[in-house]
Amino acid sequence: MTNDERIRELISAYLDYELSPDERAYVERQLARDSELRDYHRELMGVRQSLKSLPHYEAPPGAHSAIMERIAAATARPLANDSAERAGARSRRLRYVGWLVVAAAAAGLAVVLMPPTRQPEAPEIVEHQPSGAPVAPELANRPGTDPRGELRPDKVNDPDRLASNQPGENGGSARIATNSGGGSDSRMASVDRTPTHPGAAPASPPTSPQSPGGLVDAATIPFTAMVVDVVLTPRGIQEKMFDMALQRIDIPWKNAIQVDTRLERALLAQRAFGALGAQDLPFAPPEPAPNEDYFNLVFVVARGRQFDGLIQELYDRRAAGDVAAVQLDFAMGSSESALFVQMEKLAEQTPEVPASVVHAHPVVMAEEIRARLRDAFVSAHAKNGANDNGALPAEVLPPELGQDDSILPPADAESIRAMEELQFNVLFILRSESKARQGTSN
Amino acid sequence: MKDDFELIDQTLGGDSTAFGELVTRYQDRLYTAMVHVAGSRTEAEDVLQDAFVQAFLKLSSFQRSSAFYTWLYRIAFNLAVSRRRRRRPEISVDESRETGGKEPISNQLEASEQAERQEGVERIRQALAKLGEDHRIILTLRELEGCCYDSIAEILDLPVGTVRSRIHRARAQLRDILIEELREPTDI
Repeated sequence: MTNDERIRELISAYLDYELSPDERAYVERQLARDSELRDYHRELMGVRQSLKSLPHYEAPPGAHSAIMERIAAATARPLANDSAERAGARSRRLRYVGWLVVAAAAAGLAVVLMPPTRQPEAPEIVEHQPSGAPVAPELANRPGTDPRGELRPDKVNDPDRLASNQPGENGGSARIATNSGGGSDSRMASVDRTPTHPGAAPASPPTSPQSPGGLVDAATIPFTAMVVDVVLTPRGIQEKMFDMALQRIDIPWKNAIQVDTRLERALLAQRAFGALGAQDLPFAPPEPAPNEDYFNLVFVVARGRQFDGLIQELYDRRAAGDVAAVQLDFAMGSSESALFVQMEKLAEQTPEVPASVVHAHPVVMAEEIRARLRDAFVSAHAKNGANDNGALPAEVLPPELGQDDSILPPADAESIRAMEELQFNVLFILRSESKARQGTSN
Repeated sequence: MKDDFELIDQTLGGDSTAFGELVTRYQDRLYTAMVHVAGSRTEAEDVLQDAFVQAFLKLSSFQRSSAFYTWLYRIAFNLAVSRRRRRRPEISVDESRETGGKEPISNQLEASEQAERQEGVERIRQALAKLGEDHRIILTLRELEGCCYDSIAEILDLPVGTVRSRIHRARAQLRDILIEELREPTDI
């Protein structure tokens, strides 16, 4: 094999995240210096994306019955009622609703990260910082904010929908976490998260935890990135399970920014950055369930197939009792790949902003990103025929998702291609116990 | 919800309805894969049924060193390949246009957009069908099934290095086909 053939083969494997760290670094150096190789890389990505645009099919009607009849004939045993079995099997299925590039969110939020100076009491980030905190000029008079940088509530979703955690008009929005946390203090709480009500029965992984390839992976649904809710049990918190999992999988741990309790509860209520400024909500966010401790939001940025490893890890840890629930969530990625490229570059190029600005404006920054994602989501919805509520017609949804309204719709092929091009950064939304919650009243 | 191994244990314990759950769980995915491997939906349906039946009958031999689906896929893949080699080579392009399956295309797209999308999908299908069998199969496993190299190596009984090089060659070949098609003059 010539050197040229070898590097091209490595580029192909690079796309699949099947290279060793040394090989990956080598390929990246070659790509950086050789425009022809970059063209080749792009062409191979195009091939991949083309294939991913191929549709997935449902098995023909009657196939299941035919199979079971043949089995019955082969074993000469009667079969139980088929439909009843299927109905029962669906009832506790973990709904992974889709994939999101929160590359944009992660990239943008990375800008506002601060060093791990964890404070035991949640700083009131949504409120104005003391006078030393500058207001970024571009944010000073943004619509929806007052000059102090606080957000005024947006249009609030239907409280009934929110109370049941149904997606509102922002139902497809990314769940964006901005929270401070040092690794030593990232305690997680246990909450049942499936379907979406606090205290609901915990989700079970759809397949064996011993089988990473067959678990919740990109093969099952044709998407490439995801948002994951991970809720740790107290033991998982204590053992710093998530920190260690990330280290094992070589996912960079980005410190989060602590939000105040009221904001946190508003986020929980809406599952997205719907109306920030919890004091103005026209409804009361749901009270935490008895087994639900309160949270800080933290997030990490992961790339590509690190997902598979992390998901496997999470399910393994769930079996071990460290993880209370894993919910794969989804928000619509942008159909405008340029947007994500821009945000990713921003994340790569922008150093950490001064802490004062971070303290003053992380939520605002997240709002901006959220708005962009929401716009992208809405436009993608429109392309895929979403109705006014933001829900896609049932026939567009993969059959695995069923008719659960809490499930957010999948990305379109174009968004998937955009995600592929970015080798997707992904935002994990985690929940952790907030010390600030204790004694905080609403 | 029970995991695969639990369902397998139940099946081996005499509860064939547990196997029915496995069928429900994987039939769509396997069918999609077999459409591309086998080259036609009719063939894919036959393979689908045969594979599940065979998996049921051989279930006690499943050693659980891999995921159940990997094992199932290997059964299906072998069936598809052997069936394909026995029959005359014809690619049912028209059959690929059947609307029997649900395809995720919104009915609210503009007609021209839908047509364009369908055309693009059809172009890819045809290009994929032009690949040699080995290349088509490995790309199906990698791109449509999302299998990692290790899983592919297990399914195809190949060294991982061979998987890597074959995937590359398959992609390169598909790339060449697609580039060539773009260069071809269109009919007026």
